[in-house]
Amino acid sequence: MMTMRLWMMLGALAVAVPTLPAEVRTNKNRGRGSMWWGIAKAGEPNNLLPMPATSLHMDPTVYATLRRKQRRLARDNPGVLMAVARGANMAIAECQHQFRNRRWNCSTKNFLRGKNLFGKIVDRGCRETAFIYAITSAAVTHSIARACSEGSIQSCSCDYSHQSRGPTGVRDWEWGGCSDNIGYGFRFSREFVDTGERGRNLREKMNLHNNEAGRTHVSAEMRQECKCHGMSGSCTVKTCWMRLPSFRSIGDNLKDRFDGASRVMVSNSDRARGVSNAISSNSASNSVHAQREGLSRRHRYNFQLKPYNPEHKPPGVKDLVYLEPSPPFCEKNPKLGILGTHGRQCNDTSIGVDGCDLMCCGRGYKTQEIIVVERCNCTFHWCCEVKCQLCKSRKTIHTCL
Amino acid sequence: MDLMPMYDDDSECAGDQQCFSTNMDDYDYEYVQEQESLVELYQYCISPTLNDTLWYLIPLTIASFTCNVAARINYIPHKMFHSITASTGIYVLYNYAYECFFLLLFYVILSYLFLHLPKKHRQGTKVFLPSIFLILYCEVFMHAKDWNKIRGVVMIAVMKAISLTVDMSDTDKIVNVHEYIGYMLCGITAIFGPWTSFETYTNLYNEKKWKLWWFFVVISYAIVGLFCLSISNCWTNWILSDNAAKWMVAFRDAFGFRTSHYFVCFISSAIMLLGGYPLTQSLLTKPLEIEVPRSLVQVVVSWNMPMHNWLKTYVFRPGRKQLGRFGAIILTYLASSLLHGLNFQLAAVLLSLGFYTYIEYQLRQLLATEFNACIGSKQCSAYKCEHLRTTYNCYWVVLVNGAFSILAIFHLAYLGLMFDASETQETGYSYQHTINKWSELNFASHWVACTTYLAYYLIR
Repeated sequence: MMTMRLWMMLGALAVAVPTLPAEVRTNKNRGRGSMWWGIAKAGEPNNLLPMPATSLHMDPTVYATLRRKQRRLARDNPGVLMAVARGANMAIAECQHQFRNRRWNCSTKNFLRGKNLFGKIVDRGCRETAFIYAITSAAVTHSIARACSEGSIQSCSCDYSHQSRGPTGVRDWEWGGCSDNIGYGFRFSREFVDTGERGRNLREKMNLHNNEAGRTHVSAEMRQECKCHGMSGSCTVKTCWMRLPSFRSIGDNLKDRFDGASRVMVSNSDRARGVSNAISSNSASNSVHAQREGLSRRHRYNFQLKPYNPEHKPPGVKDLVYLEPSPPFCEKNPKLGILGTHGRQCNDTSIGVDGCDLMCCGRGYKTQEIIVVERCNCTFHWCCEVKCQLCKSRKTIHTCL
Repeated sequence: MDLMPMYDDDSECAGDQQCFSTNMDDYDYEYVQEQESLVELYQYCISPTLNDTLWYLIPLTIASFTCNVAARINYIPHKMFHSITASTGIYVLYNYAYECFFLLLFYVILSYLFLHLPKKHRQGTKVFLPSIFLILYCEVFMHAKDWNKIRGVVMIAVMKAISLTVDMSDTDKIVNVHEYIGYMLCGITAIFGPWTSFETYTNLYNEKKWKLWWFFVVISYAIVGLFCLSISNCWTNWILSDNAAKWMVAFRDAFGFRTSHYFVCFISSAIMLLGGYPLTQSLLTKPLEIEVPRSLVQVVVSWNMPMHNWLKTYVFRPGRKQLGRFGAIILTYLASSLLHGLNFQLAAVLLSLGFYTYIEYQLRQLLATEFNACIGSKQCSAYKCEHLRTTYNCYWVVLVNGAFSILAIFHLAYLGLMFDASETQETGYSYQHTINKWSELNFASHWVACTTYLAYYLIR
């Protein structure tokens, strides 16, 4: 017994130890951040040529951020590029909202050609990277689903085929609306976001897992709501409808998963994940216009990551996973793309991460009084205009040294 | 492998600070709190709800129209007509309320036999016995979800049976079995109600002329009803999200409940009119008088007018003779909550409403006589107001009435907020749910009512 266990441990070491640094180093550019994130900044005049937003698909600088397959997807599904750009912006805004009080505040770089939007932090397989992947993938899913329901993407037509209803007996309510939008968003996000992540090494598996987690959060939050109608609160008629979740709630959920993310290493056996992705199975109908990548696709999502600490549960579909601990975000570290917390605002009364003690990493902070100009006394004028005054007020801010 | 070179030029930034923007620049992503767009609201909510409801209503519409046609055709004999209405009723009940189908048939037979009892065994409070047994049976032995689904249907049947028994209590005349079964099972009123008197039902047969303009009224009733449904399901939640102030949410949920009631009433009006009932009886609720009420008494009257008439005729008036005014009011609300099933939440709401209306009525009556002004719970008639001061000659009469309506709106928000779309809506709201919802608002409305009573007590 002892010897067997020893052999197993040795075996695990033999697998784990060389793979980690070796893979990260050798295949340097694989799975390190996605260029398409840059699309978020595509409309901004200081970065790119001034272009009307509608002609986004013609913009060569946008195309420069996309891989060949992504370009093809954009060409074949007119309208998606705008939705992806909106999604990328949503993701950045949500990420910065969720991390506004933390040392790492989801800062983005000024977009230059060939740069990764979130900076070099995505080179590391840490929690923050996991969050970035999940939130961007979720945002694309959400934004595409939304664009579908608004009718701005032609290739996702609603499937009204399953509207039949039996007149007698106990009827279960059947969805008759355009529920498939979310399915389209899910599938499109897989095609678009996961391009290039082939799942061949651990880092790519991590990216795939986190992308998938983001998408799953969106499709799981899509919820059915029902209401009863009848004489004085009885339930003679029950009507139901669907609600696409607000992106804020998805951001909140993903932040919760960020806090409880699991550190993983690769397992030897690639097990099938079972019923985890029911939505992926019906991809035959209403498919995204894209060529199938054949056999590799089928196995791309069928892997199980093993927890780093064997006593922990293996990560679920909705969990975020990471490979290495986060670097300290206190000091500036250009190699890792960390800005440091110098000059960040902090809250002197809070004892949390946004409090000055933790935020400034014990370096201390300076207190200033500044004059803030805000819009105030806003009044609504019929119809439909809001007029505001500009008010000056004094405010005390604390900034880290 | 495409675009691989793009990843390589990251290294040029190493050691160079200018690659990074300053922190402040990162906040230029203004987060717009996304609201469901109108298109989405239509696509995800309005369209499926309306679609679903229209499909749901088709059998009922057909059944109701069949009754109408049967009444208009001269060749159809009397008995045949009642058999037709009864069979449409059976079809409709089988289709919509299968859970209580056999139970209702049994009840119809039982209550018909009850009518054959000697007079002294079916007078006074004894008329209620078969109905109470039916409701208790449903309450105890039926699955909560099923019972909550068919409660309205049972309530209508019970009201019909009681009203007929009371009407017949002084005579030995026995109603015709065809008429009786036709009345009890009539497909037009079996599902959504309303209660109609036996006389109104038998008069259906005598109406022989077609009035085509009624169809326009039917369509407009249906449109109003469906609009109320869309408000109840979609607009309320769209306008106010769940994280608004708690009183706003309370008002929203209560408003959703009221519009749901208007939906049922207007659809029921449309079905009734389509089935050939006269236009004068087809208005069941007055939404404007409930939304901007003069008093809670007015809300109770306008909520469901046939139900109100029924309670007044068969419970309140007989009860007042024996129990006095206050007793009769409480008896009426008790009867009403019994009809609605023995549900704690409904009973709590209805009894609260009973006390509130009593307090409000007494206080305003007192003030009206004291100040000789038109500030009672019921509006003075415009022509012969016995008060000196009216809304036309005295400004504070308007103010006082306005204040009382705001109080009524406040009470309504408090009482109606529990009929929300929570998980328990299908099985009937639990005791826990009611208390939780009310304690969230610190029982504010009950305290206000107590204060009002105290004021009344001191003034008196």
